[in-house]
Amino acid sequence: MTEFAADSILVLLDVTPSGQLAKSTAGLLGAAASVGTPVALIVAPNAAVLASEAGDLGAAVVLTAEGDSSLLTVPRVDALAAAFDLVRPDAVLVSNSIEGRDVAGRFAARTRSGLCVDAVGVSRDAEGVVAHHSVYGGAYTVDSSVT
Amino acid sequence: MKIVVLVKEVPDTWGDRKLDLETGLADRAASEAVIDEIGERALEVALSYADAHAGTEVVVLSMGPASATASVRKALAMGAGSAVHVVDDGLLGADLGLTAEVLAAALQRTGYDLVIAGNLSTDGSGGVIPAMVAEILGVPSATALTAVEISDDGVSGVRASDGATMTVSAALPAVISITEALPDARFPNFKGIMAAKKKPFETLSLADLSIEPEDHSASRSIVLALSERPPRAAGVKIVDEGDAGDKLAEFLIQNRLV
Repeated sequence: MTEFAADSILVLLDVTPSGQLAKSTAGLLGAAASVGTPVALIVAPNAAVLASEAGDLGAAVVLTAEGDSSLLTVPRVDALAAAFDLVRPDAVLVSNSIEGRDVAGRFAARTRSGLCVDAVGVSRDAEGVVAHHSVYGGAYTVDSSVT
Repeated sequence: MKIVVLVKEVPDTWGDRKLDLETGLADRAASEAVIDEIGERALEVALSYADAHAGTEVVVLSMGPASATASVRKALAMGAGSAVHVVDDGLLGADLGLTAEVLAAALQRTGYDLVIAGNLSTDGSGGVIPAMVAEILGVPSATALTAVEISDDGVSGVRASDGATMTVSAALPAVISITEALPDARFPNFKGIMAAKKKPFETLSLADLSIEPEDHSASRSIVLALSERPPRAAGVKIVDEGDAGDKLAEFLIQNRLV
């Protein structure tokens, strides 16, 4: 049984249809590392192969699940929910991609978690993790967090 | 077949959109309010199906302030059969979680076979509400569709995903979201505008939906701080006195542009 760091940030990595880690991987893991210990989750039939690549990009721990690739979104949400219960992270980071948004939306609705979307950066303050947003085409900068 | 279309009133992207720097809320008075165009396109998907299939009921559902009534009426004028508008002071500054819970509760009350939404609003640009609503309702969701085929017991389409196009299908009841690849909406004509005045228009409060906005068992997202972008400063002018090349190079180096 792996022990997870108290400041774990669970990061769901996107996998492209051709079975590669998406380009967002390094950015997500880098952002997670700036606020805690990145724990990556990869849901793909070849997740085990991609795990070492995620490790090279900065993931402290990589969790893997096969998932059913013939189904949209829900298998990844199931895996994310299971990983969330296991890791008890301070925050979950998901790519703001078509696939990522769907998973984030369903996961937040299922767990009744607060959701900060379209974030351009994350930081940490005394209370927890803060998301930064660029609103109305960059006219405003907004910081948000969850209760 | 009962199709419910989710529409949202947003500040028109044509003008300047403002946030209230004190409350952190959108300043609705600062710009013209319109139905988000992607919501109109979603309505068009429902209306064109209804045109070809008699017995199709098209309902528009919106959550927003009382001032959004005119936008919801426009959807009726375009051809929707009835409208449901959720209005409540407790929804001021509602986050995505509360919004999804309200929309899902309203959908359960109204009944639906298919829910059609836009993929992404122009103001919040979250793009998560369709998936959140589907999760709460416990139904499949097919998002970001660029083509939609509705049948009696299912919906299928082409989904523009990240770096791939996929053909997806789901059994009804289901939630779908569409992209702007789908056709522009029709304009309301005079007959439609007159007819809209007689169509059923239901206004619901949170009490009607048995939703407690201050429910602390759910985690909500909150705004901590916001600031306006400072006005753009004037640029640097370089007058050529024989050394413009050097000055230009110096400028680029200073600003780390080379």
